[in-house]
Amino acid sequence: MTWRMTLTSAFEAVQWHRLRSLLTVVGILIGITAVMITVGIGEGAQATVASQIESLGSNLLTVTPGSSSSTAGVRGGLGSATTLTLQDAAALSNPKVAPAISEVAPIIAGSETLTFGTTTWTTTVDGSSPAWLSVRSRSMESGRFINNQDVQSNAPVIVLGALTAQELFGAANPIGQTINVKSIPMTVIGVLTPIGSGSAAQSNQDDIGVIPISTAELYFAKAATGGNSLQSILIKAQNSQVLSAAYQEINHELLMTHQISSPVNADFTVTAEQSIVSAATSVSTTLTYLLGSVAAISLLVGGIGVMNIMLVSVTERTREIGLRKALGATRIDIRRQFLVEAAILGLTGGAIGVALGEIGQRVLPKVIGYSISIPAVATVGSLVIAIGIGLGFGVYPAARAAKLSPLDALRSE
Amino acid sequence: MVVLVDSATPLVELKNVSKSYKLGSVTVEALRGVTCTINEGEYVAIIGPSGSGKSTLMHLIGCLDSPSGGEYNLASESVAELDDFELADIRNRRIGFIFQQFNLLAPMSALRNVELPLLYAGIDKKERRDRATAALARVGLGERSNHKPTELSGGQQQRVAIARALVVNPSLLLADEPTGNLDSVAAREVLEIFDELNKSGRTIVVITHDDEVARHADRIIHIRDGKLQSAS
Repeated sequence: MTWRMTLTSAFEAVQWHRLRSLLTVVGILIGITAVMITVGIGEGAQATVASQIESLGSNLLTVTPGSSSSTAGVRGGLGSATTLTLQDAAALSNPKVAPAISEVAPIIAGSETLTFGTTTWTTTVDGSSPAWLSVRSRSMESGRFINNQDVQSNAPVIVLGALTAQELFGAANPIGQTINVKSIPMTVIGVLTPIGSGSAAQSNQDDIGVIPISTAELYFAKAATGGNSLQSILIKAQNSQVLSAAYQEINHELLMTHQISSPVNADFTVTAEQSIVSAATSVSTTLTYLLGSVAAISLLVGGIGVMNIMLVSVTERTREIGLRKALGATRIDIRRQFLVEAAILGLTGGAIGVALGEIGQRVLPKVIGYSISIPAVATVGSLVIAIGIGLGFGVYPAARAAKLSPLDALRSE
Repeated sequence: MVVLVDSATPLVELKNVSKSYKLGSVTVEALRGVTCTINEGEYVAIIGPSGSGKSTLMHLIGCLDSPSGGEYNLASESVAELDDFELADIRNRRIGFIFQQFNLLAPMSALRNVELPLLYAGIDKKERRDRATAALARVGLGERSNHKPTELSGGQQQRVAIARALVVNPSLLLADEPTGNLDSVAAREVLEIFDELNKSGRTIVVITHDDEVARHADRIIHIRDGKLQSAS
């Protein structure tokens, strides 16, 4: 019996048992669609997370006081210690000491109440250097950013985030206006370009005030910490390739200036945005695996469905198998017939499943608000898996059919 | 389709054939040393009560089963030594089966049912169609080739089955209670076809418990308790 004849009669058999074939196909297509959608959601989530973190500033390293890996002695928790100074920031700015670092922005941050007329607004105020703008990958919408002269002269000037400016001034132009920051009058010299509406993380970045670090030191820091200590130092590496070099330069330089011999006892912590990216990515990878395994289970169930149907089919068609054998069908003919039937069911289910997956990719994001991106490899893989399931779970029923002796088969009623 | 009749040429040769089954812990001796020869062109009825071993004998002759002991030659070829694939080939080319239950495939038209053995013989579509149409015409169903089995009467269904058995031009037509499910009119029609086929040279073996059916044959072999009673 040629392959073409086998195919023809397999298609016929699938048609003869329409309802049964339909149910099998539905079982498989649910599994395939589930796999595609879950993989798509996972991939979409990874892309979204990566782009959100990217928007926080690329090639960014953050040095915070305190240590998360401290083993000896009593130390403050992350961010609470007072071990980072402007001298540290200055040392790291030296290109001879740290060639991989392009810019350094020391930060003295506080939550302050801003007042304009009768309007008050509480937000994060960063005391920082002119490098802040490029380190955070921000730009100006209007006015100008802090310059070196402002820092040298402890100028009472402030740059506002777009959201902060809107809260205080509404539609009015904030540039040149004077607001009170912790009762100290400061002139608004610029407004940052908004990062965009959307997630909470992004709008937070639009709700901020930036003042010269010297001004912050003068008016706020002493009261808060009793010294010229920094909350953090933001560091931008030359590029993402030298990120780990920059990381090592920071560690080396700060250990030296802090006269600490063992890295285990470091009184500071360096974190990379990249490591947040990879952590977030690994979270969504885990999510993908989780969803994927649920989908895989549904595929498995679909496969067992195929096996079940094929076994029922073999039992039900015992007489047919016996007759075919009496008329000259060999074991191979019978096995092939059942395998091809199972593969057809698998392929049909797979094809419809892939089609539904593609539709889901287009329709679902509008409903659930998450982007779904199904990689081509998942589409092709799903089809292969579907045929594989048909064949894999069809092998046992087909072997059983092939093994039937024509005699037993014909005797059965 | 005329086969030269030479009564001296043996088609089926059984020598001291035995067959035993295991039913649970009990061994059933279905055949105990059966020896007989059926020549080409003969019309033989094997008759015996139920449980006599006549069905077992038919399955052995039809190469649906192999003997536990003894020798079986079909057209001078020793069948006992053939493997599964060679047996399938013998069944396909040499033997035309006719069953009590007709065993037609319900979703297929009469024509497609008759084509089925040719499918396994690897014959191309055009020739399949021509030969199946000819075989159906031979049993008087040329007009009904596109009917499904459920649209045909019992007698017509059995005639389709006969066409299916004939289509490969087999050496031996093997019928197991071919009239068992038919009324007397349909049964007579079927037996008349057998008579015609035998007259044109076809070797026919009919297994039955019905004397009326057996009377059509040239020779009657009685079987009882797995042994032949007479080979007159």
